[in-house]
Amino acid sequence: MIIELREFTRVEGNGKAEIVIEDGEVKDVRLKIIEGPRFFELLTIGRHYYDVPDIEARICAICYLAHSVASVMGIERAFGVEVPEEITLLRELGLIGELLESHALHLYLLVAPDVFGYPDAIRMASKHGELVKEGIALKAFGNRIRELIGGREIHGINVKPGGFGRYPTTEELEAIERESAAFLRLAKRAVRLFASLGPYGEKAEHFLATDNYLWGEKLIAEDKESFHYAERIEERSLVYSFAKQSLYGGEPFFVGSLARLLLKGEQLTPEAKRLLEEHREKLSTGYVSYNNLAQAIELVYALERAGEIAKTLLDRGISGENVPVEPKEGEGIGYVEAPRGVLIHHYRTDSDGKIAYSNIITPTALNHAMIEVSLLKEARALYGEVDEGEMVQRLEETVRAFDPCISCSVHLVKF
Amino acid sequence: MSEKKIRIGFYALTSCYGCQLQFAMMDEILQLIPNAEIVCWYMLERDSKEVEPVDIAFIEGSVSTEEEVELVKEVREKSKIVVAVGACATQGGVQSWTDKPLDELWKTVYGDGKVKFQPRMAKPVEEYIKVDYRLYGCPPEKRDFLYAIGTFLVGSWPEDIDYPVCLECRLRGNTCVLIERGEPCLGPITRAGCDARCPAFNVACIGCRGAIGYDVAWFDSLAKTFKEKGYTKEEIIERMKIFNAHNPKLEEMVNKIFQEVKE
Repeated sequence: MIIELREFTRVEGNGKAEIVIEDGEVKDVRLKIIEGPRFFELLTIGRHYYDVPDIEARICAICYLAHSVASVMGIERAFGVEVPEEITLLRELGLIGELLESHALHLYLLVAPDVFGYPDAIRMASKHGELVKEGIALKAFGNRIRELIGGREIHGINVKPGGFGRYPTTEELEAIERESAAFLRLAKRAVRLFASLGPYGEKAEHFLATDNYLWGEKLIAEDKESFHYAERIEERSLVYSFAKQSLYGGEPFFVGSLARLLLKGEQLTPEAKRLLEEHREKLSTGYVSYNNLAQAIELVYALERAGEIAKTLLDRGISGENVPVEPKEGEGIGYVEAPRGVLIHHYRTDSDGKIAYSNIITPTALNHAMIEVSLLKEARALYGEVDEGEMVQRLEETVRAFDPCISCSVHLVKF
Repeated sequence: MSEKKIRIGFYALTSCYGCQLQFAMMDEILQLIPNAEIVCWYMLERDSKEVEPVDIAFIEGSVSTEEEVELVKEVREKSKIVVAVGACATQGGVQSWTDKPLDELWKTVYGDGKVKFQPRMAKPVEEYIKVDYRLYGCPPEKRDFLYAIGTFLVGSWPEDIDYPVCLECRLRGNTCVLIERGEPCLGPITRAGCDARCPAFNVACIGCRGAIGYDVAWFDSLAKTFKEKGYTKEEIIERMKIFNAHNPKLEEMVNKIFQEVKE
C-alpha cells in the first residue's frame, strides 16, 4: 500500500512524499519533486558568459545571490580571472544579506508556527505579533543588503564577472555597520527560542561544507581534507522525481547551517562562537532538526560578520575598480554556501567565452537522500501511533528542518 | 467598503517562487488583511486547500506539466479575476525553450531514465486560459502588486504600461549604458515600471518586464544599434529572447536588419 501525502506547505516549491507500507510496516519513503523541469544547465550551453549569472539567478528567488556569486566564481575561475579582496568581501556581504533574509523567513515565518502550534505566521501574529515583527525586520535588513550588493531584493543583476555594476557608498556601509549591531539583540533572542526545539528526523552521519565560511575553493567533510565535488559525491536519477539524488561514499549526508557550524566553528565571530559552544552538545548529536537552532546561531554570526566587513571596507576605503575579464577556454567551479547549504556551479568555456559545459548542484539535491532517510525514520515511529493528519504534519516539520528549496532542486545534469 | 471580504488565492506553477516571495515581503499586505481573505497560499499556510472559489487568483510560474494545465483550467473556472504574475506566467520566463524539441532536451538531461510525470514546454498561462490582467517583471515590483490590488479594491481596473524603461531611465538622469558604454541594454524595447532599476546600477537592462505591447517594441531599431556596437545576430536574438521567447515578431524583426546588409 502506498500512502500519498498532500503537497508540503510552508516550503519553497512543489513537493510531496509517499510512504510505502508493506505487511503493516513502513517499508520506504519517497520524496517527490513534482515541479516541471526547467533545464537550466541547457539554457546556458552555447551562450555568451555575460548573460549567464543573471539567468542562473532565476533558479531560486530566496537564494538568487548565491546562484549569481557561484556562477560568477565558476566563470572567473574558468577564465583565470582573480579578483581583489574588496570584491570578495563585498560578495561575502551580499551572501550574508541573503543568509539573514532566508534564515529569518524560514525561522520566524515558516518554523515558528510549528513551535507555537499555529497553521501559519499570519494567525500566529495575533498572539506573537512582536516575534513576527522581529522576523520581518531582520528579513528586511537582509534584503536591504541584498539590494545594495545584488541590485534588487530578488533577481538583481549587479554581481558580474570581474566585479560589480555599482559599488556601495561610505554612507551605505556605515548604515550596515550601525544596523547590524542594533539587530544583534533580536538574533540572540531567536537562539533562545529555537534552542527549545527537540530532536527529530535522523542523525546525519556525514557533513559537507565549503572550505571558507560562505564560499570556497573546494569542499570539506569530517576529515577536513579539501576536495572537488566529483571526487567524493556521486549522483543518481530517480524514477519518481524530477530531482536527482547525491551520495557521499554511498551514504546520505547533510549540507546547511548545522554542517557549517560543526565543520567550521573556528571561523565564527566571537558571540556566535560562544553560542555554538553553549549548544555544542546538542548540535553535535547530528539530528537534522537542530538545523533550526544552527540557523538561529548563524543569524548572530551574519550580523557580527556584516559589521566586521563594513568596518574593514570603511577603514580601507572603497576603490570601486573592476578587474578586466578576458574570455578564454577553461574550466572552473564556483563553490558557495547558499543559506540552505553547499551550492556548486561548474562550467567549461570555449575561447569566445561561450559556455561549453554546465553542471549545477543545489543544496536541496545534495540533501535529498538525507531528507528521505529522516522521513523514513519519522514515518516508522509515527505510523499506527497517530492519525494520518498528524503524521503528515510531523513529517512536514521534518522536511522543513532542512529548509528545502524544492524549485532549485530540480536539477538537470550531465553531458 | 462593503462588509464582504475579497477572497484571494495565490497559486504557483513551475517557477522560482520569487513573485510570491515579493508579495510576502510587503508590509502593506498586513494592512490589506481587514479587507481581504487569503484562501490559498501554499508557501505560507499549512491549511491551504485545493482550488476554491476566489475573487482574485494570482498565478505565478509557467505551465510546464500536464498537471499544471489542469490546475490553471480549474483556477480559471473558480475565479472571478485571474492575474498572471511575473515573467514566467506572462511570457514563459527564462525556462522557455522554443528552438529545441522537448524529447531531445529530456534525453540529454535524464538519459533513458523515466519519470512518472508528463513534462511540457514552458509556456505562458495565457496559452491555456483567458487572463484578465498581467503583472510584469522578474519579479514584479511591490508597487505593481499594490496598484493592482488597490484598483480591484475600489472596483476599478489597472492599466497597462505602454512606454519603455528608457523613458524612466532618462528621467532618473542615468548615463546611457548602451550609447555611452556599448552594453547590450534592452531598455528601449522593455516595458517600464521598474524605474530603470538595473541601469541605475550601471548594468544593462535584461528585459525582465518583457517587450512593450501595442506593437511598439522596435526589436529592429535596437538590433541595428547593437549591430553597430559589434554584436552578432545570434547574440542579439539570444539576449532579446531571454524574457521574450514566445514573442512572435522578435526574430523576424531582427532578421530584417541583417538581411538588408546582404543585398
